[in-house]
Amino acid sequence: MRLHKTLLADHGATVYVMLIIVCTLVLMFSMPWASRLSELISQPWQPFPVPFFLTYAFLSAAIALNRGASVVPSDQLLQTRALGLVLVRIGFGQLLILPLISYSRVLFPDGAGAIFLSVGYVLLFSMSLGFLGILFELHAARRARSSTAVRYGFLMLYAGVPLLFLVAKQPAIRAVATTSPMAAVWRLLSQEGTAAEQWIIYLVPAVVSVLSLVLVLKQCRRTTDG
Amino acid sequence: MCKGRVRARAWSVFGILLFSLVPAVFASPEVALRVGFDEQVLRLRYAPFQIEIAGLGDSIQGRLIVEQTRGLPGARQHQVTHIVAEGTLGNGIIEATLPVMEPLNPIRVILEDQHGAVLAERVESLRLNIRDWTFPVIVGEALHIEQTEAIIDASELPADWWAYDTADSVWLVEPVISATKIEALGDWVVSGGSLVLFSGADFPMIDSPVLRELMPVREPRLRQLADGTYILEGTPKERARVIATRSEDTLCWQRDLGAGSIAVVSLRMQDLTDEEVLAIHDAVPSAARVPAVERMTFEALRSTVVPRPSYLVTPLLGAALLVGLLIFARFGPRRKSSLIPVSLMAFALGAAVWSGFYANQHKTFIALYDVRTSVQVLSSFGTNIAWHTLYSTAPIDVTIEHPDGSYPLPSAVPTVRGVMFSSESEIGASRFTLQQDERRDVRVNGKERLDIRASLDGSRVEVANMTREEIPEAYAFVGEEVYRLDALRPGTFTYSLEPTPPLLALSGMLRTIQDWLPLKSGGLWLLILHDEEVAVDDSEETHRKVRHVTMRFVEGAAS
Repeated sequence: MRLHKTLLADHGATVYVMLIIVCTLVLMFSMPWASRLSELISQPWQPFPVPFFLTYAFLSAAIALNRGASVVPSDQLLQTRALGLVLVRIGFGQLLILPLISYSRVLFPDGAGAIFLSVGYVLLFSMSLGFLGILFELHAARRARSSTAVRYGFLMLYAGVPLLFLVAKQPAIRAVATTSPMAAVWRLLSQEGTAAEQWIIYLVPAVVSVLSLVLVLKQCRRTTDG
Repeated sequence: MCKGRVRARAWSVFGILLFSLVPAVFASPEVALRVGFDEQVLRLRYAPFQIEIAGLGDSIQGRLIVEQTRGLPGARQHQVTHIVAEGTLGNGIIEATLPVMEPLNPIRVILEDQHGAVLAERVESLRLNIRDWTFPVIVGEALHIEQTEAIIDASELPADWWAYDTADSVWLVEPVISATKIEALGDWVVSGGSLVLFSGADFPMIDSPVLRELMPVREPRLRQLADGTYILEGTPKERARVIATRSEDTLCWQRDLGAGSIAVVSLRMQDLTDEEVLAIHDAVPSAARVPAVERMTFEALRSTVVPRPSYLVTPLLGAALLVGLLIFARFGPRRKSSLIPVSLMAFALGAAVWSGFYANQHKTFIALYDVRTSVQVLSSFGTNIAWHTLYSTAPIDVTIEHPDGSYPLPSAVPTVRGVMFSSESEIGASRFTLQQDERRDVRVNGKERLDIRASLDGSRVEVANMTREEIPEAYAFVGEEVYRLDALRPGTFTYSLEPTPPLLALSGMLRTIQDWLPLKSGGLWLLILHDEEVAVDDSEETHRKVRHVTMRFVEGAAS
């Protein structure tokens, strides 16, 4: 009963069901259809894991924001325990999707290193957004509003705005685009990025995680002090 | 005085020695090239290449390269390189059989040392020697039958049967003694060539077991005519026919052998009248060109199975995870124990491990499909014509291994944009690049020897299978009828010819080859089919799937 509540509270089951269904569908359509070469000639197929991993990263981020917001109590008295709760809920979602990630290996004919890099990034990124979800919800709750629009608006901006830098000609400016999870996942899967770009890819969610964690802990301390 | 003479002689000897060294010191290596019969060539056909190396003081370690350019001048061109000799090279003639890519472009021959330094090179133009149609090749003295013939010496005859690709017929006016060259001519005849052999008083010079296999008569012997000339006589072999006579005497026998024809003239050329030569010429068939089996091989390519993971795995995994989650969501609150959530997590972990193993086993991304269709014609002689039908699903560098010196001839028709026809051929392998979704047919010729014999005895066929392996799929062609035979066991066994329903599966293939191979000529032909997927090499380097389709046509005998 307790575990059920921990994992599936606040429409958790719906969120995870959506994650499984969408990821399954995208992975299914990434698979080769052809059984004979004649079919392959008429409909050429290449192993292309990007759509699945982009979906996985985007949904993981959305779920992390959602689960982060779900741990904020209605009285806004946040406790340190909530941080663990966010991580458990995010981890549960990742565990559910793990068989599909593992099966996506068929889309990597030349080694599976990119899978580990991408999953590592998505975990870090989800964690940072989980903490940000708490902050958004606290901020909105103080004003007696819902944080949904802010949360998902933020996600869209975070994912979309850095992509504008892709049009830049200078490589240094173009590297800013990798702060977007979309560009980051693409770069990790293609394994084309420079070492500096890889650092940027992991550094951004790590810094966001630390900053948001500090802010959340400050809120927890206020609750304890109060 | 005597002392002075001796000294003078000593100086003169020294001078002669010094002078004799001059050419050796100043001589430089040279290469010379002769291409084609009488230097006549056809575009995208094989031709004999004779490269002469001269001026080398000692043997060297190096290689001899022929560079050609494919593509018309002014259009997109591609470099085609053939290494025709590698290792220890000395003065002398090196023979090779190469495809002539585009005779409008010059051909370059390069002699390199082992470090790649160019020792000698020669550029030859074939522009004035391009022919549009195949032509007769006359070996020996001039025999003007069409005014288009190429006249060559017996020593210029190539040792590869596919070198006769440009020949409409070969006329051996001069005696040819080399068994290797007779064997190559026999192989060419079996592949569809047309050979005319003059004998008469020259017969004892050319007589050999290899030649007797080739001849349309058995027990050949000479008889002297009233005018003192010698004429060849003999017992015609099965299906041999007389195509020219002089009163009571036979002037020429002709017999189909494999896909080709062999004609033997019972007199020397100089003992015949012009009218008799013309009559023989009119009766001798032209060489049958090996059919373009691209259509047939393309069907084999199209039907090749694409290795891929089961399409059901993803939805099943998704469905199982959903069901587990829904059970947990529905029944979880009612139970105090953690059995359901723990089971769900254990299932997710187990499914992740299993799907990882399954994916590792089935991550078969094939970048290159290589369907090798071999058509072998086995008679007294034998040929093997193999087509590599290649299809690439990604840009890929392809290496095709082939018998030494049997350089491949790629198809001329590009199937996608940006085709790279450049290639590098070594003696035993050729390399080129395919674009994504490109299909290319590459023809490789080879020799094959008879390891199955068949003879017809009424309504039964006796088959001597010397391959030591059981042959599961075999057919017998007797005239218009086709019979499916039981599996051919190793050894000699007799098989009855049971009526077989029409073989639709064979009809497409037979349509392709019926103008080439006289399967329905009345004799016995055995067709052995073999189809196997040789390898799925999914290593990171190759990603290649190879399928072998072999069709062996064995010409049988009626007992």
